[in-house]
Amino acid sequence: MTPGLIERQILRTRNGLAYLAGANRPDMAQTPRDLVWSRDKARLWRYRSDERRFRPPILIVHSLVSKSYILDLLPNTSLIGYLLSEGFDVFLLDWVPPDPADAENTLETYVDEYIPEAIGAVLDEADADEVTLIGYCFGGVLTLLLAAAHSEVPVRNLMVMATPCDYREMGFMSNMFREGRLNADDVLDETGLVPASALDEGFQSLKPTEYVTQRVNFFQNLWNDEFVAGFLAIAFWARDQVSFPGGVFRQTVDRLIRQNALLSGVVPHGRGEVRLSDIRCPFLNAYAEQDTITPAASSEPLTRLVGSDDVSELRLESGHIGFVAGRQAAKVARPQIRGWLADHSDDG
Amino acid sequence: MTMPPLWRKAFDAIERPLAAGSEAWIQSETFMDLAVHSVRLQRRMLHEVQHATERWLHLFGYVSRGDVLRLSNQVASLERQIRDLRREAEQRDHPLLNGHRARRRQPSSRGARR
Repeated sequence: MTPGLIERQILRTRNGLAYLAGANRPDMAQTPRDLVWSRDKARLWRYRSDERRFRPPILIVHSLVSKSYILDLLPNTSLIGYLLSEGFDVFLLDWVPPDPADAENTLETYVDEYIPEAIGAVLDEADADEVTLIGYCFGGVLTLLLAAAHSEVPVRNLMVMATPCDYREMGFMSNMFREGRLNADDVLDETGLVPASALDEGFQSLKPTEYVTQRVNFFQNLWNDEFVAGFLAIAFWARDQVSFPGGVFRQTVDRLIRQNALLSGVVPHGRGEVRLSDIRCPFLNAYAEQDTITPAASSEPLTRLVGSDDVSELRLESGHIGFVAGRQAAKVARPQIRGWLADHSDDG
Repeated sequence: MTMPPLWRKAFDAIERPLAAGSEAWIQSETFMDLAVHSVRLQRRMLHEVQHATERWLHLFGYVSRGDVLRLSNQVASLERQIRDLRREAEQRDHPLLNGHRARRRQPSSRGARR
């Protein structure tokens, strides 16, 4: 029930003072987990659960441009927590922020080395023969390339969330490189990485007034404890960018932005190329209507580009994080994701 | 559903056209050209300042940021070489998937694969 005007003012004052004192920063990524494998900056986590009911295990491959705690944001809005409570065995492949030693990592480093090795570790750890792969944002690109390039890797199902495909639709940042105004090396620092600050500025510039609008929303709902906790967690995550390996960035500019190779369905990879039509496992393409980072128009074509006979689409009326936070996540996204995963898994 | 307060309606009335205008401006050729010049100018100025500071620091025998970066990049290069050697050695002993038996799917009838 909504409190009255006076009560709201009291709550607003209390939460406002706590905010100014920095006392109401929520605890994020609280779901218990164990590190089961690591290599260089790759970390494979398995989340603890007594209710593992479905097989195969799920491996979530996180993006290279953000921190993975968005998938386990708050106890009541955690996608990972939800999947665990529904009986799935959840692993997360996460990346420690890169340092100069990772500057020359390429897409092949992740697609041909880290991810297959991590899948091997998942199979051993869960005593399984196959995995369900979930790729979030740029992690989706990595999982698509893996599924297309490595038929020997036992991927039973593939789901991508907010994953870019058509880079003409990716807006300002992509256009700067696509039309040749900027080259990849123009934004790399002396260590060969794209600095986190450059990515942050790029994302902020996509919606210049959003920062102010979000603060106004925050003030308007300052009386609401649940809103404040969610807002602070998301706002903290949104500015908590990580550096991006220069080698992957050069390839992203050349292959994905300038050649728009994902949209053509044929992506240069290693000494050859991979075809999205070679992805034959069941596939779910989940994207969000109001996503400004990966617009729906960019993700949409993936549905028709993969070669699977079992292709589904989940279109949400939300933004980039609509799969993991907010009302849309709880009411629409999670139950549908759960339904698709359950339908494509073995029970018991 | 509760109605937004008056101040919020006033804010939205100003913000919405402003947001639409600023987003369109950012997509414009003029803005993108300006942004490119700004990025290049910033980099050039930073380089000039760092170069000048480095010369002064070296004159007095001090270590500069550039020296630390060069050292850091050399260490990074060594780390990469060690990784490559370790990976080569491991790949000789273990196949893909950490030695876990891979299930082979039906080969695709279409196109080249690496």
